[in-house]
Amino acid sequence: MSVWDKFRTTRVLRPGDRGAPPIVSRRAFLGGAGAVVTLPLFESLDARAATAPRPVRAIWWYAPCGIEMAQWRVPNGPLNNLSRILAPLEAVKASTLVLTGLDNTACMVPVAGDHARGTGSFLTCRTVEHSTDSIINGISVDQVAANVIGAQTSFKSLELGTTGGSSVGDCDSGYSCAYTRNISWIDSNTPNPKITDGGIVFDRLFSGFDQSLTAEQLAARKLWRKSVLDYVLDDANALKTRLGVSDREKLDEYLSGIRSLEVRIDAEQPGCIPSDRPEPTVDYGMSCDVMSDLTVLALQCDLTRLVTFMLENGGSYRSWDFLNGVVGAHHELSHHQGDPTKIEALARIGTYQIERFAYLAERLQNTLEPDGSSLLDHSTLFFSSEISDGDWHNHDDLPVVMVGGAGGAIRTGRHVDLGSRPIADLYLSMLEVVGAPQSSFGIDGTAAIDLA
Amino acid sequence: MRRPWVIPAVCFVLAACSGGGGKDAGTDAGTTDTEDAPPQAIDPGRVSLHRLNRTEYDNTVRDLLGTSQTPARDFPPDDLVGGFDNIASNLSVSPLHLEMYELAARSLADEVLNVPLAERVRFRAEGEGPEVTATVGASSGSAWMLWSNGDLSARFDAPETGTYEFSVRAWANQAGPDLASMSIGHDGFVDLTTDVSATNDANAQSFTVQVELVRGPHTFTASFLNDYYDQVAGADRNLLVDWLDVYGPTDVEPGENPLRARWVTCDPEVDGASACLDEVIGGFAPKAWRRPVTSGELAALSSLGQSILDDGGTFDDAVYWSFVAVLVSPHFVYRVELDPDPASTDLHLVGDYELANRLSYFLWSSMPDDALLAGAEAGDLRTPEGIETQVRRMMADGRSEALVQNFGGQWLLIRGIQDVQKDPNLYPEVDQELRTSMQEEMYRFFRSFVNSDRDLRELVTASDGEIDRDLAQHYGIPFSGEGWTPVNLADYDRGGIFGQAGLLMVESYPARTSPVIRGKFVMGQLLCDEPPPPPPGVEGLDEEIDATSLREQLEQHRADPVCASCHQVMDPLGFSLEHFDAVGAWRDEDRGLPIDASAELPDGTTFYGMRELGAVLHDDPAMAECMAEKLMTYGLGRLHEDTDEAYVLQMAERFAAEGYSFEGLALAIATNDTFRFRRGEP
Repeated sequence: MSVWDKFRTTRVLRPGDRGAPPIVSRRAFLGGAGAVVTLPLFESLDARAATAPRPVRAIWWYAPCGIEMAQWRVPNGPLNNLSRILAPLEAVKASTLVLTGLDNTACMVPVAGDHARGTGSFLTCRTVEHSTDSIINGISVDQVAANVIGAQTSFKSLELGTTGGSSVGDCDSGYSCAYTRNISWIDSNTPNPKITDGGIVFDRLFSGFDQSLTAEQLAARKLWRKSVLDYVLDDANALKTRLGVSDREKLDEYLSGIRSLEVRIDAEQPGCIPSDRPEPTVDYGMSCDVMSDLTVLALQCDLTRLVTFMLENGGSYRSWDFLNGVVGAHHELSHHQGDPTKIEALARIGTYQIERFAYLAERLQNTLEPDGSSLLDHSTLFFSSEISDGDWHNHDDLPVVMVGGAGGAIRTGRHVDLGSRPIADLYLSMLEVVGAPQSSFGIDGTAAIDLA
Repeated sequence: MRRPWVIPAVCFVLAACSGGGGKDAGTDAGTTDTEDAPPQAIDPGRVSLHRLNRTEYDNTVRDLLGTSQTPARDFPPDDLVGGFDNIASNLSVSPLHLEMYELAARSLADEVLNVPLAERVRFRAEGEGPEVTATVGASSGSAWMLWSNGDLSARFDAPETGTYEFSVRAWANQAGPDLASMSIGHDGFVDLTTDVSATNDANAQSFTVQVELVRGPHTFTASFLNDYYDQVAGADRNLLVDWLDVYGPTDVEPGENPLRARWVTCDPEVDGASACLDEVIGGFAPKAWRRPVTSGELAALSSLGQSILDDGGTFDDAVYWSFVAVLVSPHFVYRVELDPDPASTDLHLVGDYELANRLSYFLWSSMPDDALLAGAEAGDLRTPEGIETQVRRMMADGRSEALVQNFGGQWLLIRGIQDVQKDPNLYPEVDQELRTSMQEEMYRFFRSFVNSDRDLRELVTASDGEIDRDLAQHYGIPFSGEGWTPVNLADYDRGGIFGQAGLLMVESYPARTSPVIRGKFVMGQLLCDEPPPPPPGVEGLDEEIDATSLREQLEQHRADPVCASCHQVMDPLGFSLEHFDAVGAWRDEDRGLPIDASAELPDGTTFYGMRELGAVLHDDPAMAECMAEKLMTYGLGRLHEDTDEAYVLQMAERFAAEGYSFEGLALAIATNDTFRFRRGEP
């Protein structure tokens, strides 16, 4: 029995939902990339939405083990013919910006563990502590943004992924699994875990608001929920005075979680009428696309404006055997040593990953805002990996592609070679476009890159 | 005094010379393995504030409330470190955790307090009646006729979450070669597809399915699936539905909730709402927090409940939110241990109730039971003898299965069998059923140690085991039995964990074996001599497949002194298992070349194959010490430190004295000073 079972009574069936027998396999539960989707919004939200300027949303995608760069690169200037790996972005080419010459210097440390280090600092641009049990990183860019704009939506951010990770063993080279499994970080010690089950994401997004309750009941419930939180906050603060240094730090995680929950309860508002709860699937592509569908739904209903997604964990050993001719574990293949078979396999994996990314971009392009514009116009999507070349393990010249105009702030349809710039500078640009500008980020972010 | 290693711990020395080991290298047992005096046990170490992990959370609410909910399955996965998911330092708390804790607490409080309806309900929608909607057809007498493929549906509001009986009465105008076919289902799911053979109202058939419903609206549907119409012959098949009927909930007794009766021991009408509330919370909080609750804590809880009553809340509202508060409290979600002076490093005995919690989460992955709490109250847990009595009692309890699932499941990688990736094009036989059989084989085997006095070192040398039909086929063993059948595996070149497909499969790549990974398992998990990561630049270069055999390729490791330092131990250990492929099936050749499972260690020890590897390990005292180290790590929920070496040696000594039984090892840990004592931190 799931946590949400008791709260699922509020599910609103779609008009005409007759519970018709066999639901045959659908491309994805919202109807595939091509469908133009508009969801019924609650009236109040609709009214608010039509007049207000559309907020800019940001989505960060992570894919492991680097990219076969020779088949990724495109010529400088306007995007004409896309490379093999980027070709799936053809339908959103005009909204695409390819960036070359971005480095994450924080991970350039000459010891083993590039995958853990690169993934841990993917969105933090901090050098992570080389330890399995002493976890030190920094706040990630999405959470910097969340701290500024997060309270405007029911969820300050969403963290999604395809896999929780192996249930046994250790991770990479003396680094905690926390680094290889999380790209979003609340603060330097606390990873912000992702959810990898679409059904749970759906429940989180749509089960909290009980439409069968009266306004008085809702008010009482909110009041009592907050009374409980006030009580446990006092309880935890009293406990804290009796603890040693490191235990106080651990309890701080709890205390900040309580404060976040208080903000959430205040921000909670009716979203929009959800579609069906996604069912578990063994189809890999569909399980990725379900997360994209949920992302679109969350953005469209303005439940959140910030999303991170991990298409596998750092240094993944996933077998991509459902791709024709791809034999072996991803990490094993990524150390290709010039072997043409492995390079070909990597190109296929990279192309497939960009296909999944393109699915999200197209869904956003085909989803209309209340003012009639496309959701993609008001979004910025980012895709990269923890390293550049799988064999070299280099953290410079990372593969970076962005999609979306960010409300006009980003000029797309082109490839820009930045020479050698900290990727932290790009994150400063993204913070700017979502309305959370900062003067510095990570160890080397000092100036936003002009993307206009 | 530690005897010299049979398997030489040479890896660290050379790796350190190469400068590639990072700061983690050289900190393990290998460097203390000298002829010097044994290290002194002086520092019991420090376990940080320990959040309940997912397993512990679910077990705790099960034992506390009697619930069958497993809310923690939806929580984020726990961090793995040292191979275990219960290491306090890595069990962090994110905002998502708090959100989940609150949801789970509300769901649990709801289950505990909810009183089912006084009566079960029956809802019947007549086929011709106003409650149904149909995609096709028309009413026909006392039924609805579906004259072509389509649905007849009705909405029903389930008053409670529970099991309901959904029935449909139907008959058909038969025509064509087949009987009429109907499916019945709810909320878009098909519960039953069936032929309808009845031909008229008088002999109509009723079909019933059990459905699980959550409270709220549901749609029930009967569908006609195989319309048939032959105009020329005048043959027309139609489905007639007399009614749709829902009855329940059938799994709860009306008006009773045994979970509630355990906590709500007073009557607010008779005893007064405030007094009864205090009584209920006074009973619940100490159980949930697994220790006596102070009067100040009770007063704070009481005032929370009272404020809800003052706001116009009902008695149940007040109890509900008080339960939520207790379950979201840090005293529930953490195992709290306090020091008299948190900044002092002076040793002190772990508190009575804190030690009870240490024992129960070690042996049961759950909260203490009443007998253990009584032992704590009586001060019995202050002596090793008192602890021993409890450990022996607790090991005999069914809850010690947690050691099989959680310790064994992680130490021997059994959990990984479900999620390790295999290339289905190369190994189509590895389906869900075979994985489950592999896992069950290992659990059964490990359980035979946890539940008996068996020498734990036989993990690597045993001949006995149990297999089922799927495994027999995978192993090529003749099988005539049913279910799980004992078999002498030595007759088939198997036996012990090194012959178990699950382990061999987990320690392989998706498409091939890896002697390096297997060797690393032996060194890390069985000898606690984990090799350091390779130096930067060589990661991933370790195994190359080309025309030559894997063994020849790996011989390259020996050529480079940096690599050789570790691989001269790791690789031979793995080579000895090369007769088993990436999914643990037997093979005599690999890519056309005969398998050579011979191995030679740097000290000249030679052996061939799985059995001889097991024998070498069995006689190596390092393995018994490592078992102590692993169970200590798991039992305390903290990583092994240099300063623990003396404690490990003490435990290994007791382990040996107890005939290397699992219970003996558990005793050795639970009665050891590192388990019984604590200190603050400056």
